[in-house]
Amino acid sequence: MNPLNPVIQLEQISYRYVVEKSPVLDELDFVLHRNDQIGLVAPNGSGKTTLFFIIMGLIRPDQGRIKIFDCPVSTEKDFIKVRKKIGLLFQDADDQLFSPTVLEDVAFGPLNLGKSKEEALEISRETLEMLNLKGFEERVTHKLSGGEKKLVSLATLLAMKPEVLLLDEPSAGLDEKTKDHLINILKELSLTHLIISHDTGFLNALTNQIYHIEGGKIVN
Amino acid sequence: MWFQHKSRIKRRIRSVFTIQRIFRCCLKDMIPDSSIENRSSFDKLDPRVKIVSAVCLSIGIALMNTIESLITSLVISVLVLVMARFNIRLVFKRLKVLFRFLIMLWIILPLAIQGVTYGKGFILDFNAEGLLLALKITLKSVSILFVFIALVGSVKPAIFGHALLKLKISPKLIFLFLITYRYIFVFEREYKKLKRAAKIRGFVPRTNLHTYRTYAYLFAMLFVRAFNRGEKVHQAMICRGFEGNFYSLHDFDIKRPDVIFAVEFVVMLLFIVFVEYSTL
Repeated sequence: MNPLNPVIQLEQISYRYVVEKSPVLDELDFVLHRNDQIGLVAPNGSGKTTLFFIIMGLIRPDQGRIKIFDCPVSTEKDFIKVRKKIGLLFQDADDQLFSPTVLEDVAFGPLNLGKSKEEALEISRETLEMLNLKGFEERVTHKLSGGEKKLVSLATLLAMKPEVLLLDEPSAGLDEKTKDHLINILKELSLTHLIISHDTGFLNALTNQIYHIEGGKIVN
Repeated sequence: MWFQHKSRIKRRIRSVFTIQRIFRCCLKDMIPDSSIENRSSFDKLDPRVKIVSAVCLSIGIALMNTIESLITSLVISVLVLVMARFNIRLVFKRLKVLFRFLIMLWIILPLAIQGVTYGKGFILDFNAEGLLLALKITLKSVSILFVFIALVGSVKPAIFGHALLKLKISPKLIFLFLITYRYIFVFEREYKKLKRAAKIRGFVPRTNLHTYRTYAYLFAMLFVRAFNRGEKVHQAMICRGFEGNFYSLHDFDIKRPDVIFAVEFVVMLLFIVFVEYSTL
């Protein structure tokens, strides 16, 4: 852990879905440093996904400050920059893959980053090859199996060359073989990552610290 | 005995008209499935040329009025279909949908159009004008369908979308088309999931309020899920840097065969128009 290099800093974050009810996140403090690999375990409905959405700026917290790469972020414009550096893997791969073919889906991110078509295609092919997905280029996304969808989703993120990965239950619904493959890929990448999972074996393989969310706060 | 028979007929009618069946028909017949091998000799042509040709020829055929010109259209469209070397089984599968609609016209039109009485029906008169009109409609629709199957049917949905984009069709509409193609199967799966959930708890569709209510819930649930998924997909797009612009990965360019192809189509169209006016 390198205390001098914080990547994501959350201070006093609170968020509630329904005004009358108690908040899901209650004055939560959290810091993710460069090269940290943290697992997040918490019961359903305890605000894990909400936390990821707040980091990505998909929802705004009721209160609190967010600093990413040591820069305070609060407006949509700030978050647009954040999203180029942080990749979020959704729980349901069908939400993530929306283009008709795999290659188009993987190229979507690089194109949004302003890459030319040729560059985007090259990056996409490289990324697919890296994940052992060569030959998947022209496959139709909705016809992939669950495991394939998960890997292609990961490829769509990696094509954007993120510095940090946020993974929301990446191992859910995968068989052992695919899970091992995913573990190997993530180990090899050894990016800074934060993983939400209920799968202890998966977390042990990929993280060096495990945190919990209790009463809207993150505890070690 | 007779009531057993009656309930069987009732069941049969119900099964024919269940929403699921209609849903499935729409899915399987209307959306070109890229997994089916459609090796067409037109594959190498620019999809834009194919789309424009198909649209022009269809409009031409739709405007023709004499039986002679319509028969010419049918012959030409069959020729185009043969040239495309399209999977015949697939063509008939798609024709089946059209025929269901046409049979209705053949029954209704001879009774509904006024003209010289051809034969006495039970209550209504039966006349030749109606039959002629039904025949014309059949010829027109079959020819147009053949042209479209041969030219547009072999273009994959993704490429079709990008070709339309290059033809300056509204990007919003195309995006809607591509997203629909992507998610309609997800909805089919969700629909089946919900239906299964109802079934394992002993739900059998009957002609009663409970059935209608259950189907209403099922569809309401489908809408709610659709809305949620739409929201999530949008979030996923934003996460990957989406700022409202779409980029196409496909490049098309018009080559010599495309020009020859387009000229052929203009000649065919002119020929049909010639037959129309020479027989008027």
